[in-house]
Amino acid sequence: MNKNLATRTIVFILIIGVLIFMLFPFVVMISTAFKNLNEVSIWPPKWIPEVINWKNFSDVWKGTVDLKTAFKNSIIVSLATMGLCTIMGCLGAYSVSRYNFKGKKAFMFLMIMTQMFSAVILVAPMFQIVKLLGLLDTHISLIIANTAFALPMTTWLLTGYFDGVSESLEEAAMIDGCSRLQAVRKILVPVAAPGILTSGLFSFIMAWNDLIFVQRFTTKVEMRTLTIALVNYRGAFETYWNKTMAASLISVIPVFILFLFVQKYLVKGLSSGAVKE
Amino acid sequence: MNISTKKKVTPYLLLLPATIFMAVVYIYPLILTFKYSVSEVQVLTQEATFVGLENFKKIFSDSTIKSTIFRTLKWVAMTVSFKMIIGTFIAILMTVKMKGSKIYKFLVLVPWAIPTVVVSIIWSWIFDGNAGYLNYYLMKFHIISEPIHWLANRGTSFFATGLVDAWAGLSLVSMIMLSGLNSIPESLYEAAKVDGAGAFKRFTNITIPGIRKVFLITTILTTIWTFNSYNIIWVLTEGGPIDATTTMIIKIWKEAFDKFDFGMSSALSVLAFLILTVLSLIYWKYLNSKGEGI
Repeated sequence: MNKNLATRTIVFILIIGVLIFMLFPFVVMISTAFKNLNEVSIWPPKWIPEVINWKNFSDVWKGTVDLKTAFKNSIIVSLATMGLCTIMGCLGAYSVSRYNFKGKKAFMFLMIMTQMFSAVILVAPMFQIVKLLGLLDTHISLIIANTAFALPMTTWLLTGYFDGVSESLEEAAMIDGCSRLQAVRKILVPVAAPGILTSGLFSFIMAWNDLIFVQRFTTKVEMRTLTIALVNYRGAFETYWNKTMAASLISVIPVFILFLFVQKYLVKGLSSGAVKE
Repeated sequence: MNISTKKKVTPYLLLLPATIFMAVVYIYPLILTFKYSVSEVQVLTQEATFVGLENFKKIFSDSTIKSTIFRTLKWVAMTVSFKMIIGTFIAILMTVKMKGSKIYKFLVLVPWAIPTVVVSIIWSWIFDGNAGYLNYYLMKFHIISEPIHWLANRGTSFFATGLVDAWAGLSLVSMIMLSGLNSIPESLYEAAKVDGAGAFKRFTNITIPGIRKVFLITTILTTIWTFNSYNIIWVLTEGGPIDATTTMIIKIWKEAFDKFDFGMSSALSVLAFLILTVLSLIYWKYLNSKGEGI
């Protein structure tokens, strides 16, 4: 029994080590976000600021940094991307999940393949097209570009969730006189709702994280999203780490909350999708 | 339309929106990339003049691009090793049944919930050459004697960008590895215990062969993701100092938008496309292969 206790202690210490490594940057962000400027450069660094300084947040939210506008743009782009991906993804996933047809495997293969290339590979021609269409500095250009990169994964995830809902329920409803559409609306959608929400949020998070398109497709300050605003802000106020961290924290909160809701489903969908059919 | 043709057409109709969308927004620019790669592109007028394989010839004669390709290999190999070794280690720790292991699993996922741009900004503060946390603790434990400007130094920035990229990717890798570990039937371990195999023997004879396929597939997938890394490197160093952290993806960006040489950038894109296609096909083959015959 003694040996068992020793192993457990070692495992426990290793786990604590892993957690410190994985979490300390998060703690650094939160603690710095509440510091005042003097405290930022003090050595040894304080993990808990002496006075909780909320002013950093209001400073970056309004003022010259104007995080509010960037936040609004991020919300618009991400929500619209999520909507587009969910609609097209549900249609595609339903087809793949419920029908047998020629070219099904090829479709899924292409969907996977499009996931393998960085947006950087396509951004130069996309930039040319966006410019030609006069869509620079618009939300629509960002929404469309982000959708192209989030849609395949959304469809892939949705197919997995639809496959997990037994077809027999829908069939029974259809025998009872429901149309296919009614069967989908009354049976598949409610049962697969958590999955639909999860894949939708996945596309939301992808659009929220975009730096590549927004860097190229926007030039006006009022069209910036959070990612580019953060990068510009850090560049302009190199030593004001407290304010940069406050701005970072603001931009983490929405995705973090969404993440809390979906992490269970997302982990299941992603990890099983990535390593087995 | 009778019912049987309707049944035949419906699946295709349902795929139509996604397919058309992807064709216009994804495939068309991809074709343009290939076109640009054999052209000289006037950025202002968007005119593309055919120049044959000129851009590719330049790639293979230009020593800076050769060193970029070599650097990319080194950077990806380093970062993928970090991710796979530490990620598998974290996953193995997750399989130990003890109090609070659910909380442990959840907390390991936290880095994944932070947007990569924010990840890089936090780490650039940790790495800060003046008052950064890393310098303080390394000096406190006498590992270094004076502050290091981690991101302004060729060698250290190469390592630092890899470390941050690995940190951001560890959550997903460990989750995938955990699903592999969990798929090993418990009965195998119990049978081995009955036969008197110790913990080490059980690990080498059951765990390692059991996760081999998942490990391989995850390594390929992680290689693809790491090769594509843009946000983290860009926000930390913009590929610098000079070109110390310029991987192929960063180089493609710089050629296009610093030098406005779309032809050259697209030729590099095509090269990256080919590399990624080969990796993806290997991934696809392993993913669909049955059994352990890898």
